[in-house]
Amino acid sequence: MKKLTGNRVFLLVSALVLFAFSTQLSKIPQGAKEYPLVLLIVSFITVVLLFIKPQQPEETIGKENALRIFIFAILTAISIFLLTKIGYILATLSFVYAGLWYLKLKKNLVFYLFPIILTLSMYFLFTRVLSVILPMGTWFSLTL
Amino acid sequence: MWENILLGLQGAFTLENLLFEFIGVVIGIIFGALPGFSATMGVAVFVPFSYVLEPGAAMLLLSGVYCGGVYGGSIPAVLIGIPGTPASVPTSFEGRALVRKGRSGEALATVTLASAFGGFMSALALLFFAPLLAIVALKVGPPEQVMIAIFGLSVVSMLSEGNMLKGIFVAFISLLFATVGQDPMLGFPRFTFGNFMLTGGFETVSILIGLFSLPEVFKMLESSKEGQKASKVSRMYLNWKENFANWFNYIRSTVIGIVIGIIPAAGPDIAAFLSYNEAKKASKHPELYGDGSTEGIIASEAANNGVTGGSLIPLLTLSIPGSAPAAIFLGAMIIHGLRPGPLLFTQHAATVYTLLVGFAVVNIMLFFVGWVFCRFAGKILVIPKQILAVIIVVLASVGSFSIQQSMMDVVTMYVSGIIGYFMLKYNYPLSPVALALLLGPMLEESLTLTNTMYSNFFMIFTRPLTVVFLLFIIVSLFWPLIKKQFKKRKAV
Repeated sequence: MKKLTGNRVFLLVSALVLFAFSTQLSKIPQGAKEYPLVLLIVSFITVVLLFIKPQQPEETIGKENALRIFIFAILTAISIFLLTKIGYILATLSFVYAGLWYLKLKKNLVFYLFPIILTLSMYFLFTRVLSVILPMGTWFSLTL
Repeated sequence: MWENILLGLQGAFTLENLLFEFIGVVIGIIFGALPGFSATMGVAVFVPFSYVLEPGAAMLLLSGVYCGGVYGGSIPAVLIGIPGTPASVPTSFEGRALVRKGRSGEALATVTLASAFGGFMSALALLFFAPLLAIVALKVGPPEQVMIAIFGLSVVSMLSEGNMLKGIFVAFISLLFATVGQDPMLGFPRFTFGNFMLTGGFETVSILIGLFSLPEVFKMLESSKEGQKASKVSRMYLNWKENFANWFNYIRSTVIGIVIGIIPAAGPDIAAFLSYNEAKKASKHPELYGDGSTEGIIASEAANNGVTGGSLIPLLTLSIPGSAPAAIFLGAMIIHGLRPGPLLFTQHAATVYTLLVGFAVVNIMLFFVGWVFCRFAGKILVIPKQILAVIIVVLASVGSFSIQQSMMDVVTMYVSGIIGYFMLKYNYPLSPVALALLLGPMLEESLTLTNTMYSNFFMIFTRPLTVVFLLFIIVSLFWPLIKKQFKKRKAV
């Protein structure tokens, strides 16, 4: 039994994605499926070869650091979800405050002012200079 | 050609374009200088900012970010001993030693001059060689395009030496992802899983923004420790005598940079190491290397900045990006309606020559902006990583949203970022993703057209250019084996 290293888990997930792609092949007409079929086959073969190959030692970062990255990634995901719910300004402001608080930035003037400056400068840059309409909230929205 | 260069001079020296070149250089230097940030990340994050600009101005802004980013990485290499980008590692060997001797200003001044020289010469190479290569590229038809795309991908595999299989895996799975959406011939939506939002495929620029920005943020958070303090910058001073004595080193290193830049996916890091080693071999005082050798700094910096212009030569003429930032550059060009290839030089002459001349202007500007920046670098390098992390996430999110004003692109960016982090963690190269996503559609289209042109596929080898590219492919695939044999013989 091969040892289940992080790399092998990554390869298993990749194999699952490839499997999901292969289930779609039957719906694709002739003439449009030959090229992706070849890519799928080669990808599958390389996944298998990489899986059975002796694994290189993996660098560990410790549980505490892994948890920090995980929570920051979750915070990012929540802020992306909230972009269309409460709009750019509130979602970004809350993400920046939450991020700085979670990453333990010293609570001085920078901590309180930086999120407001960043959020508003990006808002004005995109909406006024670059003419991009930033997401507005469906729950409620704040626009300037 | 000279008429076109005059056209480029006119374009590059308008007040508006000079301003964008300046802004690009400043942003690039900051991105390169901040540890954890890179030129690639800078170009990726700033592509969306270029959308509202005229194509020429947009390309100049991104050129500034690209050149500034490659140069900026050397500032922390000298002042902190931690290179801002891998291309600055050799500089850190010598720069740090000079800092210990109280000559930080001299080290930074040499870095600035060598970078500007390497970048400027590469810009001249770009200006004169790209149009020449474009003439050859006029002979490129679908069969040659197939071989070019395969060559680009095979070089990537070669460069993932030690991880060649991983490079091949990443290239093929990325090519597969590039097929999501309507197929080029029948227009049939493939691999959309019933989701109409996938009919147009994944937005390549969103993927690249996520792939080259979020993983760096996560890596930054792998340690809770604050960064090291930057050394104080002593008086900025150039030892002209020593620099003049190194004229051959300047030229050799720049040429190495340009040549490495032309090779697909061989970035500034390879050029810097190669050039540093060559300079050491040729040096009359190799014992000084590691103890603050100015020669070493010149070799590394002229080469890594020489890559910038070199990497745009195959990009503009053959659609093959020479480095990761150049791949993102390609994405931006396509968005601005500038399809690289031989026709680019005739159909969009004003824009292309503005870029080519502007690239040289950017590198002249780099010297002056860099000189001023170095004086304040100590203060900028102490920005806490908590602040850097949230800035990048906000820039990446808003930037990817602004591409098509679609949340799908933001989600794509986020998922790519997470995947990119695991790829970095398990040593999967990221460059093949950029190359495969951008070359994938061209490869499929050219393959289909070639199949229509020739009933027997092997008939394409009756065309001389396809044979030349086939030889390139064979050499690139077998390069690791050839190198091994060379090493064995040398050892014997």
